[in-house]
Amino acid sequence: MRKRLFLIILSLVLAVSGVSCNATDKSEQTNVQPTVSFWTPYSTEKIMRDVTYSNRQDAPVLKYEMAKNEVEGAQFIITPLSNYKVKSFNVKVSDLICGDNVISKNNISVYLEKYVRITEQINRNNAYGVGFVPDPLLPFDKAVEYNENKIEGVNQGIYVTVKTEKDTVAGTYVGTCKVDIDGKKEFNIPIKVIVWDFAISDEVHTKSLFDIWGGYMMNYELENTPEMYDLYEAALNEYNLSATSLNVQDGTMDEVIEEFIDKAIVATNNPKVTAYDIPTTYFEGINNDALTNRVKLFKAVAKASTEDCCLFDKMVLYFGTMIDEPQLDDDRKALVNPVINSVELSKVQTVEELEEEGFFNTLDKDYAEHLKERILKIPNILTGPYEEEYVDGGATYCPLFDEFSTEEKRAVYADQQQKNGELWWYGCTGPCYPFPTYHLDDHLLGARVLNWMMYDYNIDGNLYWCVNEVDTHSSSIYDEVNPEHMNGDGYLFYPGINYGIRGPIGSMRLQTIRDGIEDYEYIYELEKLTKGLSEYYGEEISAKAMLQSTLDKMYSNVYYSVDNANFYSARSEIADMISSCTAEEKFVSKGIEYIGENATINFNVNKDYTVSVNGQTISGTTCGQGKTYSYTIKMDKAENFFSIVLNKGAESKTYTIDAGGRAVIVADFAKETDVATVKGNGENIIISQVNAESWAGTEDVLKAEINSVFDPENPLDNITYRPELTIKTADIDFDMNKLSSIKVRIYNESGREIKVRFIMRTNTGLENEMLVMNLKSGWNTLNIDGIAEENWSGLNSITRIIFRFDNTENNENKVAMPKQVVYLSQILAQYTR
Amino acid sequence: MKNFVKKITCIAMAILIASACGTFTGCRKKVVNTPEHLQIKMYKAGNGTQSIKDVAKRFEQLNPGKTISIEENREPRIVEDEIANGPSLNTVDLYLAGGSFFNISNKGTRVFDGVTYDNAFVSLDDVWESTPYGETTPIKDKVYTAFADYYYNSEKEANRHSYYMPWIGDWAGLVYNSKMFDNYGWTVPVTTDEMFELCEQIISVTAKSTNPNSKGKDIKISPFTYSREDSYWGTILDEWWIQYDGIESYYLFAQGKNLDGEYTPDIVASQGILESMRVIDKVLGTYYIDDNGSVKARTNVYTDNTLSFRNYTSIQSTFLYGEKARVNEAGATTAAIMPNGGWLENEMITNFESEISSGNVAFKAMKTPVISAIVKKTSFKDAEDKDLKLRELIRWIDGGKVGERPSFANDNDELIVTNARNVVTPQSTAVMIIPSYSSSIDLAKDFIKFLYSDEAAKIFISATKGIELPVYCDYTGVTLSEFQKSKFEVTGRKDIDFVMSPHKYPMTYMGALPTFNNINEYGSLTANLAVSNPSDYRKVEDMFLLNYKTASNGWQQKLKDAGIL
Repeated sequence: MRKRLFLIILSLVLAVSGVSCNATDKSEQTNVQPTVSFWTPYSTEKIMRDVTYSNRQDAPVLKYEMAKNEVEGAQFIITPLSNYKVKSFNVKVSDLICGDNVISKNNISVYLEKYVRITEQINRNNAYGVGFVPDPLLPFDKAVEYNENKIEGVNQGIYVTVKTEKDTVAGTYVGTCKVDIDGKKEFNIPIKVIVWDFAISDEVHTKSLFDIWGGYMMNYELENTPEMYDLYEAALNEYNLSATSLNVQDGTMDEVIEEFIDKAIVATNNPKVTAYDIPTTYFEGINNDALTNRVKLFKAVAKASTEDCCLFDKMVLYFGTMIDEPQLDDDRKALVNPVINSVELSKVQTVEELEEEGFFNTLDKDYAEHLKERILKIPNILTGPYEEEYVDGGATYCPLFDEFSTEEKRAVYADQQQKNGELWWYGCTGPCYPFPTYHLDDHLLGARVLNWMMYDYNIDGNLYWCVNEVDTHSSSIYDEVNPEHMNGDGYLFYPGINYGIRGPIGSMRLQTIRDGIEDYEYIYELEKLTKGLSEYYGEEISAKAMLQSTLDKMYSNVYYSVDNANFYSARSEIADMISSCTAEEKFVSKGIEYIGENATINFNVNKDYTVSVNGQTISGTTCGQGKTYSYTIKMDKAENFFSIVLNKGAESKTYTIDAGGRAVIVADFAKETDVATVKGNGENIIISQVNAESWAGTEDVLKAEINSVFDPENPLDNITYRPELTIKTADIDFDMNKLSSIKVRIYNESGREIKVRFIMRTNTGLENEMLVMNLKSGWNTLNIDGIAEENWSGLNSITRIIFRFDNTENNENKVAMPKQVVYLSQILAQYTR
Repeated sequence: MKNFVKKITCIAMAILIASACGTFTGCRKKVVNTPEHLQIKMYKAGNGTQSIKDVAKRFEQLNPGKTISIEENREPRIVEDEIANGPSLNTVDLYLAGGSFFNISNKGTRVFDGVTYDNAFVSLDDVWESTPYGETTPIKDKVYTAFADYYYNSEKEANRHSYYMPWIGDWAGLVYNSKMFDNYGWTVPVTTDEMFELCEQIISVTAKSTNPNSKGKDIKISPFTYSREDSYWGTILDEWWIQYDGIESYYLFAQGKNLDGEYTPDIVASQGILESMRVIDKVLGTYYIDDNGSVKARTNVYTDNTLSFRNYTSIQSTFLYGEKARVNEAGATTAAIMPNGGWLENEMITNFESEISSGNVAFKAMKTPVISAIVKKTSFKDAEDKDLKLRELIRWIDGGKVGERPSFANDNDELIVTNARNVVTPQSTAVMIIPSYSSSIDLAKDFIKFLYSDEAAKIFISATKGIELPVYCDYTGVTLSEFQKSKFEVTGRKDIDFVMSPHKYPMTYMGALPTFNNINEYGSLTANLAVSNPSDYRKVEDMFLLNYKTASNGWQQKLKDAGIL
């Protein structure tokens, strides 16, 4: 009895202490060699810890393509095979060699990808569900120190960054990443770094305000000192991001102003800092005291500024506590105009008082003008959507990313930007995928493409409400994510205290954000170079025009393509453009024009070169000091390229420009049979075929005369009616599995701008409004991109395409829409590769 | 040896205790959390909680060794706050909540304290298929058809699990002061036009107070009254809308679909919604807009909106007292009809028990009058006396369709009007939920099986003074009040179409669709019609249009937010 009791207790104790007497550990067996596989997904891919990716057994290479003065990341995944349990592993990297040139291993950083557990799927992205996703990046030496260099699940990721210097010589560098498994076997993963022959600027050109919250630092770092804040701020700067606040300490107003100015000087001189907010104490408010205080602050800042260091260049105002997201709260909404007016008054008063004091007269004339302008144009950030009722041009709008999802909306914000001076945007709990997010259960690629969109849509800054609101509900932020604020919203850093590090630990999301910011610098470089080329060629060389077709591959209307290969290919194209601008041949692609099934590339080259495209020698026409060329191809292959070869003596250089997938005219309204496929949804719509002689155009087309069905006496009778032209997809030759984009040529003869909506409708009655466009008088092209990126349940489900028009003026249901007349020429489908 | 064993035991126990403490965060109040104990958290509103307490007591008697504790809570959506806490912080085994939580259960897999569950809640499919204590009819057939279809049958058909079981049947709608009706010989209206004719009768009455402290003083009788604190008009608005459009249309609306199953914002422009808004405008409106577009005061106002700012208890008291309401120096207004629900008697019982039992106060449930605009869908729509015909048809239906159908009506008319008459709104869609991490899942299920038995149903209804479980039960032997009896006349037939909550569907619970009490920009519909300042009055047609425009704007994004597109 006693013996049995003893045994029971003993086993109980052992059970409680977690020791298993029965399991044998295979890796203890000396004759078992590690069986693991290595594979290298893109750095913008999140590989979940416990998911088996069956088709990912590529030959692993850590591959980088980057500029000088850049940091770029890559990752490899260790996946044990045959139930092998990896108890520990080690990673060592070598120097990277390119002939006599070396990128030191000290420029290479290795991180263990730590996994955090998603307990509830929140974001709409079904690629990530409940489970462990990678995000915190723990320096590998700390992983070893804390015995975390082992494999808990199916996969273990290692993230490796390479940093090039400004003087790194361009070329292809190779090295090795050695991975030792359990001390028994060493594996070599090749590293290949292609360094392009241009450097990106030290200075960051996309503005950001990413907030650090002291209270949250206290929760997890157990320290909320200025020093800790500085560490977080410095960490943000490492990722080319700016902290919202300069963390001025409390004190008298004069003390606050003095400290603010000191810190503003440091920030202004720091090329990594792009923006900072003023302190809130004393200065945020709409009463007279706040106004007076702001004037005092601005005047002091003006007097502390110099020509070389204008402290207003990066200053912003962000009264987040008063007017953040006013669309959600009537009280905050009611404060927007008073805030705008009070801020404006303080700016104007500042300038007036300084003028009265004769301050500007003491300055260089140009600088004085610059200073006045900067004071009057201090951005006043409003994190919320446009509202007509707000003071026109009074706020620096900073709406959510999805507010830029249509041309129409972008035009509204562009108008406000023109009046106000700047335009920002932000994301937080919303929007969700398929828009870019910083959520844990979402793709990383969106966060990187975001900066390309900022260039395309001329957005000056990106705001993020908090970088360190580590989850306050979980026992450890490193273990389980609280879905309350969306998974991962509000934090990009993790507390270093858990690993004996003073300061924060970064994340894959931060690396991606930095990568995106550095991508933007590519465009900045291109913009600079094209100015010189404009002079050379004696014509306006637009970086935007050069880039547009490449950018169109990455995203459409803020919906980004999730194709990582596509992204890196596009990035590489842009690098080629930059290289080509500085190369002797001065090759400049002015963009690709798509008309019908044809694509025409226009480009300029140094006149000393002979040019052939796709094997055919072509001649150009003089253009400044060079020549301009044009070449057309039919987009009838699965992949269509322009292969442009430039020769000068023995020297030969090839530029390969991707024109896209196959393009097919799926409906040609010169043909009666195609005209017959178009149906109107009412007798008020008259459809006919018109030949070239009978109208203003030069081709046979379909004509649609659209009459309104609206009785002002009975305005509700036809409230839901909108005239439509519908085409069944079965009647036209769409290959739904591969459809990437659609182009439609449409002529507006209504005598005024009219609105058309292009809709794709599925067999379940779901309508996806792909494009809303105001048709100008004359020819328009509807470009409907990003079809493949939509969340269709198989494109085969699309059964109709619809052109929908308004039935009443402004869709207000008050006044009938006058007759609308449009002509349709062709519908062109472009396919993915 | 003995001492050695003792020492080992102590060490082991110490280790056990230490590790046990380590699994709980901090030192907390001790909670009985064993499979033999059922911890219930119950939403307490006007229904009170005595019903479940009495049922629980009987359950314990029938199941020796099993115990139940009941905690009351006034927050109907407490589940949303608590479920995420996980088992280390939340030991509730069974929630009797004030609503349903499809926004949680539709998310599927959840992790609590490191353990993965298929769902936040326990599947109750087996309970639906089982029988109540001592009975042979399966629960799925015992529960009111509309409820069973909504919570179980439709889910089963879609190969999904059911996580909810309803615990309040009952009804919400219009209550009338039956004593007043009897005194003045008023007829309970069956159409809205008849209702407005009744309103004219009511406002023409010169009434005198019978309150001992103000006897003989003039007291005004308003046809309707309500409190903005808990308006309850939303229920009636929905019913008129559904009467007109049909219940299938309503459920499709909740999903964002039209009758063809297509996702379209055009559903917000339904005629039923417009007609319903027009009726409520007449009920509440102090103003109207004439043909010239000018705002004019209505000659006859059917609701004294100045009273609506008082709290609901005060309003309910004045209503129940009727002419017995006290008239003070400022005068007094009572009312003949108000929107309310089955909880009314229980909620007011403290002050009114003796008045009710003595017959001084009497009130009954009124079947919601059929919206007169429905005649547009009938064969007699062009008749001069179309509403009279409609009333005749309804009364024939109410009488059990005894005798010949009125000759002017055809099969389609009978079907449309019968369906309209069968629309009833339950008091709420309150449900029972078992958290997936509960330590007493089997016990909770067993309790539910008992709850649905006739025995428990009778205990339940006896304790609540009127609210019943949503089960078909013969309440013979149970003393029901007049109010309770009148409610059963409204709800008691098996062909009643209870209007279940639209919050089952993402398009609704994600906020994509407007509801009557939340028209964007104009705020609450009822509040904006019942304005005191004429410049604030809006035509319902304008509000209707704005509603439609708001729904149409960003429709695409709403579909994406709901995970549909």
